[in-house]
Amino acid sequence: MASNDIQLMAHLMRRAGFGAPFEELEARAAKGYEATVEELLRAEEKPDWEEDVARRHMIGGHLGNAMPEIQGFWMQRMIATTRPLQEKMTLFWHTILCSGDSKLDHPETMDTHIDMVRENALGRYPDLLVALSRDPAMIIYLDNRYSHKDSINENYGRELLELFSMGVGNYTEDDVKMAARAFTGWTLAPAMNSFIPYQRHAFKFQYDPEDHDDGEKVFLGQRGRFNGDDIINIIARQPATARFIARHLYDFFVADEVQVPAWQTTPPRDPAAVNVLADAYLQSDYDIRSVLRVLFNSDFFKDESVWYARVKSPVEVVVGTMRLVGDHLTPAPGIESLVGAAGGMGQILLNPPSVEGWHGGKEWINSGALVNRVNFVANRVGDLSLPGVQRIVERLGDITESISPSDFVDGCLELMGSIRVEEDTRLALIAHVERGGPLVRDTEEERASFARKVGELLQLIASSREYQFA
Amino acid sequence: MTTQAKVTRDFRYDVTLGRTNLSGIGFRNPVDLALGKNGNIYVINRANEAQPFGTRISWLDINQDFHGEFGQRGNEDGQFIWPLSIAVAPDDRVFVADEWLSRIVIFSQEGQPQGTWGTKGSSDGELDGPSGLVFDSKGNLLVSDGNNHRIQRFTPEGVLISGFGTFGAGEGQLNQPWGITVDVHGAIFVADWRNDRIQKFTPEGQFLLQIGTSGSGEGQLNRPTGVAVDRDGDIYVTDWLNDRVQVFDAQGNFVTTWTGDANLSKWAELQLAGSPDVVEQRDTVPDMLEMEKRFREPIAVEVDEENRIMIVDCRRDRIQVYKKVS
Repeated sequence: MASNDIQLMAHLMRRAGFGAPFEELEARAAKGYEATVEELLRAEEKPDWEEDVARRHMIGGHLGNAMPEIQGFWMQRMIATTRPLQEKMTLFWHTILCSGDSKLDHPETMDTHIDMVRENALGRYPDLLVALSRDPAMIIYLDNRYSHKDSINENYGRELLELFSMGVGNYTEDDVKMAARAFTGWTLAPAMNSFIPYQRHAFKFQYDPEDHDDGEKVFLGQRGRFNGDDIINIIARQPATARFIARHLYDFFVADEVQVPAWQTTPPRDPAAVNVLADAYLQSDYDIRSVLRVLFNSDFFKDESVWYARVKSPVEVVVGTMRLVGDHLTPAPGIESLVGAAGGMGQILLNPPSVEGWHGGKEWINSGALVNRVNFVANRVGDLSLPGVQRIVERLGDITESISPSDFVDGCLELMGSIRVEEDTRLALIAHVERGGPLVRDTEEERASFARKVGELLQLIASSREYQFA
Repeated sequence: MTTQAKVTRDFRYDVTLGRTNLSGIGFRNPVDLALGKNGNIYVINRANEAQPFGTRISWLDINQDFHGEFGQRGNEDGQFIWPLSIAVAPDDRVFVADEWLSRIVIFSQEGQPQGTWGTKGSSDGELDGPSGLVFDSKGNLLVSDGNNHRIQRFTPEGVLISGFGTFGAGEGQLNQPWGITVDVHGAIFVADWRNDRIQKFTPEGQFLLQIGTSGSGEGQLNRPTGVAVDRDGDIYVTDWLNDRVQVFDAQGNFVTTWTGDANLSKWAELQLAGSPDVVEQRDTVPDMLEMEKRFREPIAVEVDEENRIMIVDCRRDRIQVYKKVS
């Protein structure tokens, strides 16, 4: 069985990254938990993935002209990333600060949006919100380009307060109007948005002082001639914002919460933990990296009661599985089918169903999605040609001369990412292995049979509750 | 023109070919072109995986007469997965490098499949990610063997003749080479992609000269992809991630930079004639024509016998053509 250190590291990597093969867990455990947390947090100190090489082979993928191109490029980046927490945080913000191509119809702008999110993912939250407010994708998605000083559109002001910072119940309708007024004039320079004759041109942010309402505003009890930057600075320091972001982080990294619309009436699963994170936010000048440092080093995160307490999102299933089996670590044909696979499980990357993003947790699971999730993983982990699967077979074969069915099961669970399953599940897996006959590997034929049995068992584990949870 | 020549040359922007299209008249993510006899131009459309029908070779001429298209995505005869480079043999056959299948796919002048050769690997004569093709004066094929960081010379039938280059950043070493060409004297020029330089070799592969360092300044390069040399020895480089083309003289001295001068091609005009809403939208963008001129990831370059410099402007689905007047 894996040591407690490795199991805890597996928990960390499932949450702060996309999971990790056993060899990586061993290396990280040897380095130490807190050191690993720091390494993950200081993402920019790690060499980035080889984006130039990806662009060489995925022609047109970066800032692409078609959605499949940019979806594939981000999927590739997540699989290959050397900065898993940065990429996980980019995905986190993508599920909250939503914009989507269904409304934009401008792939390059979606891609620059995600690049902006990635750049700010671990920084100060108000910096991210300012960048978001200037982001062409958001200006299109929430209609701020149609908000004028003599005719405001409240869409962005409302969602900034409701979905991006404070949550319903913590502001008034007047606050929404004041925010909308403050963001008038935050618009786009005209750009060519037709793919004919020579593809689209990128949208750029443009501030139009003539269309900005520079009048006095009363916002969240404060009075002034606020512009958008001022509004964000006021929002960022609100205790409601601290609690809202803290609860989102808890939901994404610690344990599934109820859906966001129910937050107003349902207390957090762990109010004390949310308070700890909210305090960290306020005390760190709203620095997300600092909040995550507190989160990952906290007892409430390490506690075994929250292991496997989150349903993996479809993108987590796909990216984590590919990293586990060692496939698509470098660009190869087929990346867009991986985007499609996540879509088939309910998460079309860069195209959330609405500004509320995806409803996660148990809502990821329905009969069709579950079948797709299990089949996707089973097809990969059962493919003995894939390097990650081969490593598992080889490593398992090295454990001991003769291996009992229980050691075989425990070994597979360990090598698949130090997964801890319910005892009933473990016993069922052992019973399956026992039915398959002896685990000998003296001859070539027996070694091939042994490898097939490994693949079969990995496929069964893929269908376990624990693999589908993080 | 948007260009300034430092050394006395007279270059003129000539014409733009192409437009966005996934099939028929137009290009989609074009990555290379080759010049054949009788003014034939062959263009590789890489397209993308979700639109595999866009992966094909377009056959046209400088007058923008469209003669057809051939090849398709796949791993059978006459097919490719990731086509990246194209060259026309002295006997007019068209050779295409598939960097995923690591093989060379051959077509007749009219696009009929004529077989394939090449095996993935790193041993002599094997290929890994072939990324550049050019025929030498003897009719043998020089292949930029990208992931093996070397150049190999084959007969048109795929029999290895010679090779040179090892991985590294020293003189004569290569790091994922891409475009390749030969000059009138047989010297070989290689876009040493990840070393951000062009290297010149003797016909036998001895190092002669390197041009460029990493950066975005004058004469610097950011992942150069394509290289061509005219009959005077001037060298044209697609400076891919700097979104420009740079021109050097035969000694490697910087001559000029082009950032693009495209206007509407014949095909584009036809497209717009059927799309009045797009024409209307174009009129609302103040600097539309200025923006539209610019290269976006120019990726390959060829020079024809009339000193026309043809630049594959990958992300704008077109070819910008310049002419050296004197």
